[in-house]
Amino acid sequence: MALAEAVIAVAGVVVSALIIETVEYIGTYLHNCDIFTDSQPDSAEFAYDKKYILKEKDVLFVSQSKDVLREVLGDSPVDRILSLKSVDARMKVLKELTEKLSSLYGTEDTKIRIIYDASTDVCGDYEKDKNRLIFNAAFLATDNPYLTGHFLVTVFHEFRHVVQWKTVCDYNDGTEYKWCNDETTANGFAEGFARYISYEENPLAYYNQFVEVDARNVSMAIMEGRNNV
Amino acid sequence: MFEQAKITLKHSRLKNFLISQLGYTDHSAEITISNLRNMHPDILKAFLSWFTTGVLPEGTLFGIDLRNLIRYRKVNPVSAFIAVDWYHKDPEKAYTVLALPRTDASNLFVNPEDESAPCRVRKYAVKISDVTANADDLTA
Repeated sequence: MALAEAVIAVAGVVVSALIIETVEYIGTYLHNCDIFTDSQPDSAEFAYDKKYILKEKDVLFVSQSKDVLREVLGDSPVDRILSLKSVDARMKVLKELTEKLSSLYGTEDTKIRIIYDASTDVCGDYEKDKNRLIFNAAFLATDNPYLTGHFLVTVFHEFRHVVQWKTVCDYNDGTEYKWCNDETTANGFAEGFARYISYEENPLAYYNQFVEVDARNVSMAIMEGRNNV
Repeated sequence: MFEQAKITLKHSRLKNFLISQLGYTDHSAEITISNLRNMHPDILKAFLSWFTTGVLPEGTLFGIDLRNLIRYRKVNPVSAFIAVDWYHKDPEKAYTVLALPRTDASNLFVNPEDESAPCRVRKYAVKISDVTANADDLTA
């Protein structure tokens, strides 16, 4: 019994150490101090266009997404994640969250792939050609509330892209999709995907294109008041 | 006595460069050229100098180290100049995009077809069984 307790205690220390080491690594790998040499703005919050108007179904979308978030992670989701001291435990919670969101959005056929890559600044992505979501769990493996909150925003951001694409596909097929507001929105998403500009090509144009504006604002609306960073 | 030379870059030449050398679509090339046209004159001058000589400006440009931006954000030099101009005109908004983790991963995977794992992935979890296997060494 004493040996088993010692093993568990050692395991706990080793896994916790993994998180702490990763914090120090991720804290430097964004290299912001190397890129921005003048004084930086105080606010580095993920930008939220306060004039963006949510349509009727988007309001319901945000509300029900918040319900799922509360169901899985409570009223303080960042605190809840940070209270879990192993990456494994955090991954389980992420799995539960993504499964419930897939069900809510009717996107169960979208594959979800979790990677761990602390060498990249990419938090998540949706590959519409493969209908696959990718989340980088390196952002879950820190004790940094800011990065943890940003990871949650990213989860909702990428899921919103899945919903956008499904809106386009179902509208083209003549299938009713419960989250499709109207023809104008479906066409807006369709054009946005057809003429998509990547971050690498032009970060300014990337930021201003409709599918990104929509995903950004919807995900921030879901996390507003829930991200205690 | 000496007049400063003007550098002019034809729209067609730049567009051809963006499409054939950097893989831009027609649409993204046009948008990018439009952004370049509206840049701060000093930033535009630096961009044109780079385009004709292939040499990035030394040090920083309007508070951004271009070389590090390109290295760590994996953007091409054209995007980097646009980012500098954006940061100059709207520093708060630009900073949130340039300084935060990204949600666009065009080049994330080394081998996109490899379903098992990208080459850069590390194992994320220390399994209890692995620790158990080493327990004797730790306690010895």
